[in-house]
Amino acid sequence: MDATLTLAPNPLRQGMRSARTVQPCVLVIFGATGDLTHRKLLPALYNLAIEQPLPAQFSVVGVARRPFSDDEFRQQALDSINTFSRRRPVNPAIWDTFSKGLFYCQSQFDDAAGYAKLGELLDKLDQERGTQGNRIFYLATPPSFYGSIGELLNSSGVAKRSGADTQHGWSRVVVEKPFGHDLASARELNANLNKGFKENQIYRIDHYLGKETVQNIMVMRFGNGIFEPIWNRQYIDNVQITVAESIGIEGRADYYEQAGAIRDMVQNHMMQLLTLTAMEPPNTFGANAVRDEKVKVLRAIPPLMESEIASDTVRGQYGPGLVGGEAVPGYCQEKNVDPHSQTQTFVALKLLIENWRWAGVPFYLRTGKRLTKRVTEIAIQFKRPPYLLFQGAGADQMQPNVLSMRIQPNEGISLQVSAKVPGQEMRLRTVNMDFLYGSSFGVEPPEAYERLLLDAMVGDSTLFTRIDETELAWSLVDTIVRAWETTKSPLPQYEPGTWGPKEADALIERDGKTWRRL
Amino acid sequence: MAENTTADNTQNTARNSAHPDANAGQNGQQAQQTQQAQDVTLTMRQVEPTAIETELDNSWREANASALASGVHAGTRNSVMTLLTYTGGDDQTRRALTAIEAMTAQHPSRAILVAPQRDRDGAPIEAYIATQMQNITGAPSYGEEIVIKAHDGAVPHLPGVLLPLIVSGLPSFLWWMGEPPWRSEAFEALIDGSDRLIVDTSEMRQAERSLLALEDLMRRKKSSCAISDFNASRQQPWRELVAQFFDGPDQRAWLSSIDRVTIEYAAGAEDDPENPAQAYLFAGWLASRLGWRILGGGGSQGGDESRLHTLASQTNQKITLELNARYGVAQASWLDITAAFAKVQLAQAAQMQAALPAENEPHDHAHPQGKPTVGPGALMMVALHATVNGQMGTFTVAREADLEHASTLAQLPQGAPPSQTVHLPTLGEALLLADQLQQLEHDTLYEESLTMAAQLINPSLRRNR
Repeated sequence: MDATLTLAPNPLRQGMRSARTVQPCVLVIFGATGDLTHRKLLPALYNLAIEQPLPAQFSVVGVARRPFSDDEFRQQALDSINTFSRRRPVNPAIWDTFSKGLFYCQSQFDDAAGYAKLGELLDKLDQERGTQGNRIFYLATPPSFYGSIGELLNSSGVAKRSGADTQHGWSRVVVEKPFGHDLASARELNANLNKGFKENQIYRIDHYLGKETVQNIMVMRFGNGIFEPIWNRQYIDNVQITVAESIGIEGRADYYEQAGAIRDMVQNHMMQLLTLTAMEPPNTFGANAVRDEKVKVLRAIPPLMESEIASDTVRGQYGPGLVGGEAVPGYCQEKNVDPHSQTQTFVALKLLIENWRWAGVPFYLRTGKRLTKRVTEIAIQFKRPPYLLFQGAGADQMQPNVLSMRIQPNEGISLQVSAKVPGQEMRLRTVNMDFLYGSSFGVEPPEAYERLLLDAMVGDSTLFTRIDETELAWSLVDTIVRAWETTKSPLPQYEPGTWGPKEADALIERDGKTWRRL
Repeated sequence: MAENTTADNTQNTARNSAHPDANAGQNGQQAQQTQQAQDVTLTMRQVEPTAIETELDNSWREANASALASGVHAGTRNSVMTLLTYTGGDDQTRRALTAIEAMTAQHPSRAILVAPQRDRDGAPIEAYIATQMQNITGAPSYGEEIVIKAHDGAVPHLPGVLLPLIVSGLPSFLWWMGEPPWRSEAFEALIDGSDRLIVDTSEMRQAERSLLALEDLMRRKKSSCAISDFNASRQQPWRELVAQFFDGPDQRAWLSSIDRVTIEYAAGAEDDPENPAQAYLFAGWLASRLGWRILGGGGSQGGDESRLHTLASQTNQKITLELNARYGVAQASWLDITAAFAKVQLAQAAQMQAALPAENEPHDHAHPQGKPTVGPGALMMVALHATVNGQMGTFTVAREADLEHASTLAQLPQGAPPSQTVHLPTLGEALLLADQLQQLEHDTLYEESLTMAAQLINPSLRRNR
């Protein structure tokens, strides 16, 4: 336990609608001249400054190799905000205050002298701007630097080994995905980070968890009384999770060649969707209570045997074809991709969760690039009525009830039910009861990064992945990848603009079911 | 059923259209036309007061049939609440309609507007309906409006007309524009049929008396109806900035040693009526949060003297509270401010329609008559003085000369946090309404502030409790 010295709550904050108070702190961004900082982080910080007052002491220090001055870094930030902020163009009065809190420290990420310089700057900010020794280190760098940054932050004394209030301030580290490329590398990465930070100081970002609609899965399940009683094997036939993209790899060959669809999507985003759908109700909405329940789900997924991997997993790779009437290259023809690449751009899986709630209910997952459309959804398919009362009225053709939670686009919830077609005869048809977020709450939701940055500032790690979650997800993915490599299972090609290889259809049809038509 | 013969067919079609693409571009134009029209019901369909529900059903059916006939997806009639608005006359009805149309995207609702008519002939009650579609955020959102014109003699009987129109099972809000007829039977009956009453104490001519009446109502109706005040939303950034001064451990000690509070609020010419409601509510917030007791003062009913009060902290530290009017501040009527916001929203809707990047910050730069203004009684400055170990500290939040930003300044012997400037937009009624509609439960922060404000104004209240 940390030797915490807890300050009594500010009485002026009691009863305020927003109970999330950001303490004075400094955000140190490693990789401050990179794309993520430029497109996402600086615009998100400015949006937070304009919409939810950050404390006057809030400061940002950019760390990167380029020889920038403070003023040059501020100019880059101004350009980022004017280009990518949803509150652009910049408000001069707000910018004046915000920019005074931006600083730059030139350093190599593995140079001890640079950390000494950074430490001096941070101490100076504590004195001059009152940041009170509270520091968040955001690693917007390639993962290969995480280890050395963690180690040097610790050995230089720049980071403190406490994630909570202490007399001398706290330190937290925010790590971008991917967190490793397999279980072993994730563990190694974590061991390196642990040299500087304890687990409660590490915030692993999965930006899917910052999306409003993903958070709404929990609200829908546990904020309503009607869903939970039927959310089990008695009533649910199967669950289908789809994360489909219509685009190709968009020039990210270096990353994608190493990752493939399973590491890019399944290990992180899809596992998050699966655990949020399948978890038991937590006893509180606290960070560890929620994550404990998610981990229990991952533990309940039995390791896949080699024979199961052959029957319950499918991979594929998009070939050349036409999308929207225009010719598109196949994956192996993409720039910087090995022409004989065996990287999968499509994955379909069948997983089981062996616990009291889900025994026997298959969870089908599919994700891929160059699919028919961009759509992310979780579909809960319910069992058919036990007795077909309306035979001959089209009831035998009826679709079972499906509750679909659409994450993107057209965020919302839709329930498919059977209804009588008006007329003298008894004819049935499936109709949709739709709840569209945009129609009921026409507000622009905050960017995922705004939510997650604010969470890290207030010390709420509920929407960040814990190391045991990460390791269990890698363990599952590793087993599948290893089996694919050893058995040299086929890598079928699929036509761009389709729903993937026909083998994926066969996977689900073997169970007498079909993929949802989206 | 008699159609309103002066109605413009184009406008009527636009308003009744339920298809997003058919209407999105015309919303702005139509809102503008509504704004300019002498009579807000010009674009609406007159119906029998007893047939409002049936006619609304017909209206949606026609709109959807027309959408389907042209091969586009029919709209979904959805609603998250009923908003019943009582306006003081045509000006307020126009304002209300503008605000409701602007916030339909956020809160698709059934909006019922009551416009009392004085000195007019005709039926005691006339009813008009319109269905409308908004597509400001890219997702279609549908609302329906009912305007009830009631002659003076019919007003006491309005609850019987209005209460059956409230959508069952959904929250219902009563927005009373201007000064309510406190303790009148019709008003109390409408309160009893609502989950929340929304008022704007900055609009009330005798603010102190109105705050007392509101507090009285709040106590009597506490179990059935929550109370909201636009002034509570306006104060939110001020409360945030003042609270922020004391978040850090170094500044916290000053909070229990405050000995003087000065609050300035905007006023026009010295002879004009003042509205110190916001100032009193802010003082009430501070006092209720910090557990202060009122020792004396109060009772000032206007004029040019300061409103001076004496309070005591939990440690019996004496605190002087001074509420001062700052004269000569450019103030705009809510009609002007609402009209200016409607213009900004039209521009934004047009930009979204054309998929252009936003060139303006949402809702921020609406200046009636092209110059910055604030609403009546807006907070101008809050200063907290404290003494610790003989050393003085001051914490000030002050509105800048441009009236749309506020800056903080802490003057301390050592360790003062840096100054900060934040945007302090004058919020239009649509945004204020939308903010209040997000709350269903009691706003205890406001209620406790109001209780303290009432006790500051009328010390006999605290003696009697």
